[in-house]
Amino acid sequence: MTSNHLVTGATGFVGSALVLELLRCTEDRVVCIVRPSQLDASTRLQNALLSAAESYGLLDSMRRAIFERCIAVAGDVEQPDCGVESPQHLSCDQFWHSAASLRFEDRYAEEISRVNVQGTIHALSLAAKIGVSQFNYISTAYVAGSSEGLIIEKKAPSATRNNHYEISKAQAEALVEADTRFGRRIFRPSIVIGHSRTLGATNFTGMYGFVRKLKAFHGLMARTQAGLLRRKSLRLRLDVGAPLDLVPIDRVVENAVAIALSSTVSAPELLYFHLTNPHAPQMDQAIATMFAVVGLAPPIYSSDKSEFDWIDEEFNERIDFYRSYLIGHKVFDRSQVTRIVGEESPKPYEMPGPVIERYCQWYLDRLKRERAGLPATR
Amino acid sequence: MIDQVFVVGTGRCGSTLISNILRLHPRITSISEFFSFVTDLGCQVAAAFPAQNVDGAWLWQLISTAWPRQNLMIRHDVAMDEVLYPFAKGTHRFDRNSGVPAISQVTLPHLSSDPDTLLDELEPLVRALPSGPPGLLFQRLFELLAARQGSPVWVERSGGSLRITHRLIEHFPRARFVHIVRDGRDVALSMSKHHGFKMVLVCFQLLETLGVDPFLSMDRRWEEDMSDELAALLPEYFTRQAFLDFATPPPLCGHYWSGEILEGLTVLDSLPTERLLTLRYEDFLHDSERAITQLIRYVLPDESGDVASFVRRAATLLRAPSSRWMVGEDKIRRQLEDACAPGLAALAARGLSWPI
Repeated sequence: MTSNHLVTGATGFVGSALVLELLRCTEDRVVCIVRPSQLDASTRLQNALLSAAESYGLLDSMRRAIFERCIAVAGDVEQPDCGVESPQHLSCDQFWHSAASLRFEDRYAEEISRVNVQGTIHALSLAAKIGVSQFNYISTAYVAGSSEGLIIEKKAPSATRNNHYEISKAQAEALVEADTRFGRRIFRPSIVIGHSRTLGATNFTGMYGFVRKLKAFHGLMARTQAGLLRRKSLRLRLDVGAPLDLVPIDRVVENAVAIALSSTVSAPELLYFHLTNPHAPQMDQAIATMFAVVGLAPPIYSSDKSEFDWIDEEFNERIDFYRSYLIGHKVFDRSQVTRIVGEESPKPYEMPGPVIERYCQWYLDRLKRERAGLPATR
Repeated sequence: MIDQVFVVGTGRCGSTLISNILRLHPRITSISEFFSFVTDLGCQVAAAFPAQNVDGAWLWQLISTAWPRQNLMIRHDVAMDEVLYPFAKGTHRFDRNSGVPAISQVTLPHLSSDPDTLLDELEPLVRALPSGPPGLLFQRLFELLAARQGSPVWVERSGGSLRITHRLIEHFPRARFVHIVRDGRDVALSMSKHHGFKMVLVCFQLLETLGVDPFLSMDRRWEEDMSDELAALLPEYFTRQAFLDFATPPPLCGHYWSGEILEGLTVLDSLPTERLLTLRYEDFLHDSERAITQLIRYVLPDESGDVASFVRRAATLLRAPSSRWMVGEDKIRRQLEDACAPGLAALAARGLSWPI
């Protein structure tokens, strides 16, 4: 039996992979609400999906499904009813709300709230008008904020949140939790990285943003004094021994779709799923690998800020957004995921140094191509 | 044949004083800040020294263009104190809105009270220059300026030109060099207050964060990686207040100074001794007549005129510096000592030291 899915954020990292996974696992139609840009909604969607499919080595197998079973509807989650003109003409069983702003600086606070909080209000409203039975919300494991220890798959604790992004996602979860018109699943991925087989990714926040910050700081200091950060080790605050929860995009969407297809969740039922890494690498080792790939001297981990010199202070300030990943020993419980999808092979999850190195090098090669024209200042 | 001399340094090391001293001498053509402005504050160095031959039209465009960084500063009233062109008075051809050509910012007003007429005089002469390597065309331009004054020597001095000294040595193979050095801790403190160095360090951060030159490209895909304070300095958002509020920490300037000294000394070490004179800025303050005499004797080895009289006149230009690291906060002093240690050690290895 085929059914219909409606997806917001289908041109984004998780959203596009999710659509491909729905196409791969079902014969269903997937309707995507896409904000037109310079391109119309349909072209923009196709470009995003084809690019994602190419990144994941799925282009040949998915091309036909993308053109035949994906339908773009012009809209915008920032508008009431997601800007959809005639919601009554849409029909679907499962609503997947994955549109999100991943920004975090203060100047984006309004935008983050508009997209992540207001967008969720609009998505819930649209879902009700369409009459969907199940609402799937793609949140983040880091709604846990400053909580430490074992983080259970349940309503997020009222912990301190580290930035506008975490605050907005927690607020959005609360909206979903309060709306009992549908059966609801809240999916919480951790730090999503590229495909476990091809390494490919289509969005470069999270780990990639951290690597980019490392590279930018290295570049700034190299323009200031050549070789300085190859000679001097940076000190940073980090919980040695804690896991760094990097999870490949294919594991995230395979689990999410498997869970959604496994059974129907009926109103007012609400379930939480941590789409995280059960074999997450150790943070200090992973960060050391990232430093090495960027060309920085091995880092020194320290919780004592009095040991920091000026460069250390400056560096730690610049990576402040990533503090919630680096500080606090969080282990994400996956009991609910495992209950449905069973025990998974550790292989795509395990990330020894050489695997992390390959992920980072893949991204640095891409950055190098993009930045080939940077002017010399000497 | 007109002699060629460059005064090089890290910037904020007293080199402007040298230009001003040399300008007083009737037999010296003092060319000030030429490379600072044709490279748009050092951010377009490679474009100013292309590998291929260039012609007069290329050189004219390089020197007559109002480049974006320096003119953004003029437009928002944060121009460097060194800029001599009277853009704010309404009495001259160029103003904040039109932008000021690179060579008119400092170089021409340093030589003439009528920089617009001098610019007009230069245009046909520069455009007519035959094709050649960029260094040869720069030499022809400097010779035009020296010939206009009847000088046997020109001396070019651009703030912070230590970072392009390797290019100057390559493109001016017979030039001699004066390297002026100053206690890096004082230099760093002075840099941290200087609009030009602030702009340079801001541009480094914009480049490395955005991955493109924001003055040449509108690609802003990594704008979100910027702090709010840095993003406010993108050309499209730039305001005077945002610029004034942006911090240029003294330790960053200290590391910059050390980097310039380490690389600069390595380059200058390749010169034969007769092509390099190293002078300490502090010697101009404490033993001015001796230091100025040493400078003049090096620039004009055949000078037979009344050097002593010139030296006395030039000494009146000397003023006590406004930035002194030793009177700063303890924390800043320690940070400066730490940041400047590699540069100070490299200078000490060459017999140049300052009190600890």
